Amino acid sequence: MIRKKQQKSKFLFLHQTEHYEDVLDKMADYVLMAGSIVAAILIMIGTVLFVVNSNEKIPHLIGENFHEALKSAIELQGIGITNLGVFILMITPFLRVITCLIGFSLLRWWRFTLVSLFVLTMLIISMYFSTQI
Amino acid sequence: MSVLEIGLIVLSGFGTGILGAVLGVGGGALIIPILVIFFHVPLHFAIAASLLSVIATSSASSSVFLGKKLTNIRLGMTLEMFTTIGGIIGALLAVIMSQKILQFIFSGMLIFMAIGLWKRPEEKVVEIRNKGSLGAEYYDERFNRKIPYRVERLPLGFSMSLFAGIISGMLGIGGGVIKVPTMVLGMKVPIRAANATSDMMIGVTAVASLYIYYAHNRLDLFISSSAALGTFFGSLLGAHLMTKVRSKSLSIIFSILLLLTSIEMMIRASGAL
Repeated sequence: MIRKKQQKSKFLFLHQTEHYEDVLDKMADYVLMAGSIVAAILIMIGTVLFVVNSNEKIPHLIGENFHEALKSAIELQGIGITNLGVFILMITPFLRVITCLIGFSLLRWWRFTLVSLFVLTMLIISMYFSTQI
Repeated sequence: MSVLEIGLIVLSGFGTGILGAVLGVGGGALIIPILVIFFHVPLHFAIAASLLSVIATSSASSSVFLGKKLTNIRLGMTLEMFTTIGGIIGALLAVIMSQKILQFIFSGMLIFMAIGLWKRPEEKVVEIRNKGSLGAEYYDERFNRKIPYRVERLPLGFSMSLFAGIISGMLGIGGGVIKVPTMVLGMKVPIRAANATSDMMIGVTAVASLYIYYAHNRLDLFISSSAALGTFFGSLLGAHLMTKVRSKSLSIIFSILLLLTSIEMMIRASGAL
């Protein structure tokens, strides 16, 4: 009786897998779209604000850190808002990997959960240790 | 840098974004030479700007492809294990490499891409019984049916993904020029699914490399953000146009353009210009 019940639930799970994978596709789609649209809007607003408020030529800026960018974005400075847009664009694929990690673990596809975890680890290593090299 | 120059970089990004999405090669191959030749941006900064544009391309076009169920997330994520490692290695090599050497390697890669565009793999539909754990299916409106496929020769995919990652991190191009033929010819993935899956992968690979360029102060805020902005909107339009535009003649024009650009870059690297 228990075995029958288990088989039934396993069958139901497999039957619904395709549907869940569609949901995962949709989630990844929303994350990528939302991240890139927000980034594009921030870059546009930031650049326009900088050009309008400053009479200077557009400077070559490198190595701004996230906290400085966030602080000056809150103060509505063009450079800060553009920088924030760039940071959001840079973390969008990162968020897509996290979405897949959660999605695969909910689907109980442990092999792909581990694969996503590996990719996420590589991104963290690249993000964290690149400053140490 | 003037406002006009920034506007022109956005426009260049827009144009290369459309072309890249329609041809499935990514805009990096053209945005880098444009930045170097016309805007006198140092190559390392142009590569970093291109990597940010690759993320924008990937996000824009893969969201369109995911909607059409062409992207195989399981396969893409599995190959990403190797492209990210390659991306990190490639970026680390690039930041220690001189501009001249990098420019020669980049020119060689452009020639390879041009040949790849001439000799594109043809689309074949293979009937299969078992999709396996990495296979999938998509609806093809031209055949009016679902196309199932099975992924073969995974070790080949792993090694070529590692190589594609190194090239992507070192030269700022998406790496689709290596991954797509490998997936189609070696792993028996249909070309449309291979293109879409590759487009999803290039974003994650580019991020892994871009963190290194950023940490080594090679990311110029306004140059990279304007290139990425233009590329984002260009790729969105290109991904929608992809099925409507006849890409054969466009591929030929693009490959000639790549060859000419490669010659120009090589002359510059040799110090003649």
